[in-house]
Amino acid sequence: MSILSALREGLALNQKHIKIVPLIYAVNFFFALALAVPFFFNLFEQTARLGVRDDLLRGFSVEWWSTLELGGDSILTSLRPALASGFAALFDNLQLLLTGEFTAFGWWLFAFGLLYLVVSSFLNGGVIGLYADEKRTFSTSRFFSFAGFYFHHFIAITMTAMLIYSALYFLLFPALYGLVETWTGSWSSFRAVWWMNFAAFFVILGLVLLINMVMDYAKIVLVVEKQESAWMAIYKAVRFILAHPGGSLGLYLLLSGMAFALSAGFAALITWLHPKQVLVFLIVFTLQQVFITAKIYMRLNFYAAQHQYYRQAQSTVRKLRKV
Amino acid sequence: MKQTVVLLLLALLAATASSQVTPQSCLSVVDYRIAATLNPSEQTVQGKMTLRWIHTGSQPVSELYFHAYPNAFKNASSHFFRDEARWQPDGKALIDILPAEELGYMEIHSCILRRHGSSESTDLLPSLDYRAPGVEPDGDQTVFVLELPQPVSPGATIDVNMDFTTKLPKSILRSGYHNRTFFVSQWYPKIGFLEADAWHCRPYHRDGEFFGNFGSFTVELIVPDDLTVAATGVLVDSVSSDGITRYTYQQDCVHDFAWTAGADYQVMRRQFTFNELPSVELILLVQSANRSLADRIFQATENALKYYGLWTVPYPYPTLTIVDAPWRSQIGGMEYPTLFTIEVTENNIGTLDLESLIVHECGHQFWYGMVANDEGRFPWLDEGLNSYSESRVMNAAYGPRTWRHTVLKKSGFGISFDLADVRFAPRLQQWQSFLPANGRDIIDQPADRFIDHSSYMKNSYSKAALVFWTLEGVIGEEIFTEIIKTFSQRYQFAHPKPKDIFDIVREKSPIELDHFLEQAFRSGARCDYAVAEVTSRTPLGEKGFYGSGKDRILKTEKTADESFINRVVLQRKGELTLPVDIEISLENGEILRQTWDGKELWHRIEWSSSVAIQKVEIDPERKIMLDANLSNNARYRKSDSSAALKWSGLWMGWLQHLFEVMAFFS
Ligand SMILES: [Zn+2]
Repeated sequence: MSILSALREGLALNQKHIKIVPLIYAVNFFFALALAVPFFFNLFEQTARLGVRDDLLRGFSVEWWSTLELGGDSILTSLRPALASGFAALFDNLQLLLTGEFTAFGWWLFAFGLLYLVVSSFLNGGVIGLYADEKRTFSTSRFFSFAGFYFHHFIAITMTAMLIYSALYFLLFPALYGLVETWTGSWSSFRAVWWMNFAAFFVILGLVLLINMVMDYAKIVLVVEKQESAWMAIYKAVRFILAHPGGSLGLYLLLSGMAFALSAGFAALITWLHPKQVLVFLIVFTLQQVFITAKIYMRLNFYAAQHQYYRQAQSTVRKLRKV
Repeated sequence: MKQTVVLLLLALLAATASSQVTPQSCLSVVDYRIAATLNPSEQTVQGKMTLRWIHTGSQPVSELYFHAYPNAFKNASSHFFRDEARWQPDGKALIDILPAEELGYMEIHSCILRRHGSSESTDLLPSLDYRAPGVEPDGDQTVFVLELPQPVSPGATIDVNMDFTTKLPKSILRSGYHNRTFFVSQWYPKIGFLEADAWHCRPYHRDGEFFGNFGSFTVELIVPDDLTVAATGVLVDSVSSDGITRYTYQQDCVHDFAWTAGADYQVMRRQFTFNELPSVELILLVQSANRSLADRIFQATENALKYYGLWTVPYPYPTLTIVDAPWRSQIGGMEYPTLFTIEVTENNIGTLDLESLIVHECGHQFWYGMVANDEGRFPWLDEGLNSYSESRVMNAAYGPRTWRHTVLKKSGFGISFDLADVRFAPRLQQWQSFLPANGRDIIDQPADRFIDHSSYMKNSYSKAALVFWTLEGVIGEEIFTEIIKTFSQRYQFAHPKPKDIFDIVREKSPIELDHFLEQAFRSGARCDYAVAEVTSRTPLGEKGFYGSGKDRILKTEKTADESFINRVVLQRKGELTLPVDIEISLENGEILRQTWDGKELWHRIEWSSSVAIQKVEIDPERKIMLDANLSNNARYRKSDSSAALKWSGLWMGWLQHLFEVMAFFS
């Protein structure tokens, strides 16, 4: 078994069930649309007759935004000039992974995000259920029956994960930042402190990704091994990773690298396009949708490739046992 | 008669002052001669000072007041620490976290008075008492008074000899030591300011800065060889022996003296020249790590010298020293005569904020250094004028700013990139800073009277700058520049008060602005002009009964021609009143301009025309920078959804990514 063959088989598996991608994309799209429509009307009401609309169309209106920001709580305040750049979406989100400040954009968005998290947890059951069911091809009804079947286990895994992430965000990371701050407190070069902070970011990112990988395998174990307990699945996932540290980490890093390259490529393209005119904006919007679709496709690749890797590794173990 | 003698004497003194500063010479009230020995391991400066002081008042004085600024860092009883604690929202005061041995103080060991023309000397030390004029003693020791056995008559000159020790604090603000860097400012016993026969000698507060009598400084600095030295004025002599160097610095027509000695400085020099402006030797003490920034630092300084020189008075001194203070030393961002400090940080290195800081601090050579108002009583006068000038220079030299977005940030550290599409004028930063402070305080009040530190900053710097921007807008750039120039020429080497600049505005302005100045500087009046309504409708035409008796006819259908009734309603939503420009764009591309005196709460313009209105803008040139809501200044008659669609779309794309981040955790 090798990382590359797991990746190749994973891609093939994802391809076989490629119809899951538009399904999840649709959920994502309509979730966002549900907020974007009131957002639009709010923005329309505020700017449609004002002169600032010209600035907003050309670039951004700092004058308008400053007054808006001062006003506070409106959902509009999550609108920032940086959104015109493709990198903002990428880095803002990476920042969330590092700080856990999910309420930074207001409680409305946070509530919707949580709901999306639950729905995603539900959909994951369908995804991995179909992947593990080797014989048959995609069908919507079987997708949803798997999703329903595994939901209570998957939500248990998600909630356990949230507990662990909370401990990281609220206890470990502040302690780590505190340590870095004390340590660098007397340093005389801000350039050195900058690199130290950057190193801390990487440690944090590593931990977040590690937990994420454990939870991925927990879901796979739960479905493949027909486990009855979410916690048992997490335990077995940890044991599996400890037994195959190089392979599991290598595969995860390879997939992460692919995801990052994809994101950076789209971000660069969107930034380069400068959505100044309506036509360019329409192109950018379409690109954003392709970007999201590609991201979802990449997320499914994680499940598919890791699923294949787990299968391969387990079958090797079984073969060895038979000998 | 007496008055004439005094004046003659003063003129004579002024004439004999060294001719470095030309062509204008100043009224020299003080002549400080100090020998100062730095002891790096003990962080002390031993000083021997002779102060020659001329009594320029009209009544005899029997007390002399002096500043002992280092005592601001002496203990918890100082105004500095008490003010600071008051501004701390979470209750943890600075003094609570500082190790006691890192504090500082000043001690006077001896104090001898000699009168000119008399050989007798008097020991004044027994009479030394820590109190400020007009203030009940309250534990603060930043001002002391010396009782004179016999009063000093007007026009008389006295010599005061003092031996003192200044223990430098670990730099908390402006002055002190930071590793092997020593920044020595507000460090010697500085005589108070006698004005209209009353002493002004303000204790060292957290907010508000400094001023003093113009005069001469000759200072000998005795410093170990391994430290690089720079100071106010011109280095006239340096002698080394036994690992110690004695540097002598001299400068006339300045009101303070600061110096530094540090192990990590590299010295770079450049000559500033521009057309008819006098050339100046720029001396940069740059941190080794910031060497590559030297060009940026010099350029920003040259821009400041050039534009301030053109708009006010030329910089008259032969040298200007720029001290790049160590990072996190709290020394950077401060002005002293012929010397200013900056600090390169993770926040300003990548943006024009560094240039802004340099232009601002260099600008203080003009507003503070030469036009030396009392920064304690009228902090806005120099800070406001300087902040206005700073953004004007930034605009002239560097143009609009670009929006910078920083990601992955943790306490200022992060990755930044510029958003080229989002540009704004430098003064808009001042406007943004003023918004939350609007109406919270008045501008024209002493520095220690503001509701909090932020209000002091936002009113004295940002809002005052915006008042000047508004004045420039309303009067016009040309006349306003003339006002600024006149003010700087008239009060070069003098100590103006708010009334002095108001008088010049009154003298030069084509319109009456007294009411505005009063509202803007001395009230919390807010300003907001808005376009409330823009309509073009068809006229009512004729419908109903017309005529009477037999001639009465009934018209059942409304008849109208092809014309429009155009109507614009403007609103004044704040208390502040100013004349405003109105620009009306018609559908056929024609533009109509009007002015409204801005006095009523609303103003309606109505006319019939064959062309409908497209857009109405109030103050289209952004003359009134005090307007707290600039986005209601322009209004279209018809709505358009393109901008809302664009940004909702971009926002939705971002939100979709946000959801995918949430899915990462599922
Ligand atoms: Zn300043």
